[in-house]
Amino acid sequence: MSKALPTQIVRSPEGIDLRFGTAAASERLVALAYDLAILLVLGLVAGYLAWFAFGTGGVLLVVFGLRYGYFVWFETRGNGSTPGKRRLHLRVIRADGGPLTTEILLARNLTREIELFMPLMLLLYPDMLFAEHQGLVRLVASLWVLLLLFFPLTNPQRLRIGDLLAGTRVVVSPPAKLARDLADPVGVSTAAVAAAAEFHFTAQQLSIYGEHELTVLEDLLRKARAAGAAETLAAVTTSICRRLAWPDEATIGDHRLEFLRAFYTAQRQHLEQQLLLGRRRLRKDGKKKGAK
Amino acid sequence: MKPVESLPWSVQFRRERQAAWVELEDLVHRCEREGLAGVGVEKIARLPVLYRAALSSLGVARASVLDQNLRDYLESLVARAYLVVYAPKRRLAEVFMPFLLAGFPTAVRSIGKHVALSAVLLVLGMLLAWAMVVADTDNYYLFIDAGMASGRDPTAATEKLRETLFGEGAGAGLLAFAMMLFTHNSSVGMLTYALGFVFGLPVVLLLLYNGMMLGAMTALFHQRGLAVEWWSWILPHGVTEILAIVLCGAAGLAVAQQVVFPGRHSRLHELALVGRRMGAVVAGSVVMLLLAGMVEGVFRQVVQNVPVRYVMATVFAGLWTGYFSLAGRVRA
Repeated sequence: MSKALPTQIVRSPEGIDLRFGTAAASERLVALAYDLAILLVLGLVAGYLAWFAFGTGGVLLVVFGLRYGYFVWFETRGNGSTPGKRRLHLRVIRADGGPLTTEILLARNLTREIELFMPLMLLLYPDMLFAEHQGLVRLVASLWVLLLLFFPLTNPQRLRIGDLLAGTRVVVSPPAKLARDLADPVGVSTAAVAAAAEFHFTAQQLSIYGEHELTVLEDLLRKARAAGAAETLAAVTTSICRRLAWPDEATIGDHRLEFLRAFYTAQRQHLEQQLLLGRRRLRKDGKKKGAK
Repeated sequence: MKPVESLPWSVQFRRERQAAWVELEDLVHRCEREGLAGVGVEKIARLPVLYRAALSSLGVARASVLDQNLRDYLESLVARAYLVVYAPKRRLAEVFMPFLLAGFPTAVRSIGKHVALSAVLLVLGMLLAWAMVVADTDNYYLFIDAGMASGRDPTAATEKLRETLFGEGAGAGLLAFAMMLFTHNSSVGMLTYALGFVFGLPVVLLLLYNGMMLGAMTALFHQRGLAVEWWSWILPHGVTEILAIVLCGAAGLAVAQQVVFPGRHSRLHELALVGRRMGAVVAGSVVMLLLAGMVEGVFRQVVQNVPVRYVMATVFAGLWTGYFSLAGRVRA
C-alpha cells in the first residue's frame, strides 16, 4: 500500500484553511495522456490546414505553438485545468492559494521541454536525441533525462520541476455528493419512524462511544443496502447491545436497521450537544477524552 | 434516568442551509464548465454571497457537526467555490501588452548581473573558438559539424564563402526558413531556462557552446578577408538573437543560483519567486527570437546591400538599449 499523499492547505482571505488533496502521479499521467491525445489531433488538423495555407513555415509555427502554447493557453483559460485535467478533476493551484497569473503558468510550462518532450523523444526515437553518441555517454544521458521525467515521484507533493519553479501544486478536487441526513426523519417511511421511536437510550448509554465509532456507524448505515451488509448489521447490533447492556436483544427482532438508526441519531445528538458545550469525546476507551 | 429524545441540532442546521449549498454547487459546476461569461451576470452576483455562506457553514461544521458526509461535502464544495470566486478574470490578450511595455524589461533589469555573466560566457566561448581556429584550421570541425556548416568550412573557396553571405531569397521558402530559425532558437532558449534547475552547469556549457559556434565561423570569415561582409550578415538579426539567448542564459543562471544558494527564506518559496520572474524573461525572449527569425529569414535574404544591413543592425542595437534601460521605469 502506498502512503496517503499530503493535503495541501490554503488559507483563504476569510481566514479559513481550505484543504486540497494532492493529485496522485497516476491521475496526472492519465490527464497528461488525454492532453497529449488532444494535442496530437489538434496538431494534425491545424498542421494540415497550415500546410495548405502557408507551407512548411506554417506547419513549423503550428507545431511550435501547440507544443509550448497548449498547456499555458488552457491552464490560463480554465483557471488551472486543461481538458485532460478537468476530466480527472485535477487543477493547478498556487501553493499559497493566490490567483494564477499568466506569468506563473508560463513558468510552470516552460520546463516541459526537459521534463516531458525530451524524455518522450528519448523513449520514442532515441537516435534523434543522441545521433552521434553511443555507449556510456548515451547511457548516462538517458538516465539523466529519465530522472527528470520521474522527478515527481521523488517528493510527496508530486511536484514536477515546473511546479517548483512556479510555486504551484496540482490538486484533485472531485465534486462530493451530499447524501441524505441519516438523523433526519423527513423522507423516511412512517412505519420505520414509528419503529425507531420505540428505542430509547439513556444518557449513560450514550456516553460510552465517541466520534470515531459514530463515523464508523454512519458509514455502515450508508452502505446498509449493499450485498452482504445484513450480517455486518447483525454483528454490530449484537456488539452494541452488549456494550450498552441492552435488556433484551430479542425485542429488536427484525428492526435492526431502525434500532441502529435510532442509536445513531441519539448518539450524534448527544455528542454534538457535548461539542457545543466544549466537551469532545473522540473514541470509546475514554483515554483521549478532553475539553477542547 | 430519563431517556434522551430529540434530533441532533445539526439536522436543523442543515435544513436551513441546504438550499444555498445546492445552489452554490450548481453554480460552481457551471462556472467550472462554461466559465464566468457563460453563466450570466445575475447568477454570478450570487456567487460571493453563497460562497461566504458556505464558508461559514464549513467553519461551524468542522467545529461541531458530526455528520461525516456533510463535512466532506462542505470541504469539497467550499474548496471548489474558492477557486472559482478568486479566479483571475484577465485574458491572455490583456496581459500581453503591459508585459511587453513594462513587465519584461523590468524583469530583465532585476537580473542585470546574471545578464552580464551570461554575456561574458558567450563572448568567452567565442574568443576561445576564434583563437583555436586561428591556431589550427582543423579545430573548426570541433565546433561546427558538417550539417550545420552546409558548405561554410575551411575547404571551401573564398568565392563560395562569399556566396553564402549573399544568397538570394527563394520566395516561398523565406517564411519556412524564418520559422525554422525561430522555433529552433526558442526551443534552445526555453531549454536554457529549464536547465537552470539542474544547478546551471548545462546553462554555462550551452552559452559557451553557442559562443564557440559563432567564434569558429567568425575566425573562418576573418581569415578569408570577408570580415565586413560576415558581420553585415550576422548582425542585423544577431543583435536581437544573441541578446535573447544571453537573456535566456541569464534566466537559467538566476534559477541555478537560487537552487544552489537558497538564501535565508523558505527554499521553495524563494525558488518560486525567481522561477516566475525568469519565466517572464524567457517568454519575452521568445518574442525577441520571433522578431530575429523574421529579420534573419526574410530581411537578410532580401537585402543584399552591406551598408543597409549595418544600418539595420545599428537600429536594433539602439532599440534594445533604449527599451531595456527605459521601458517600464515610469510606472515603477
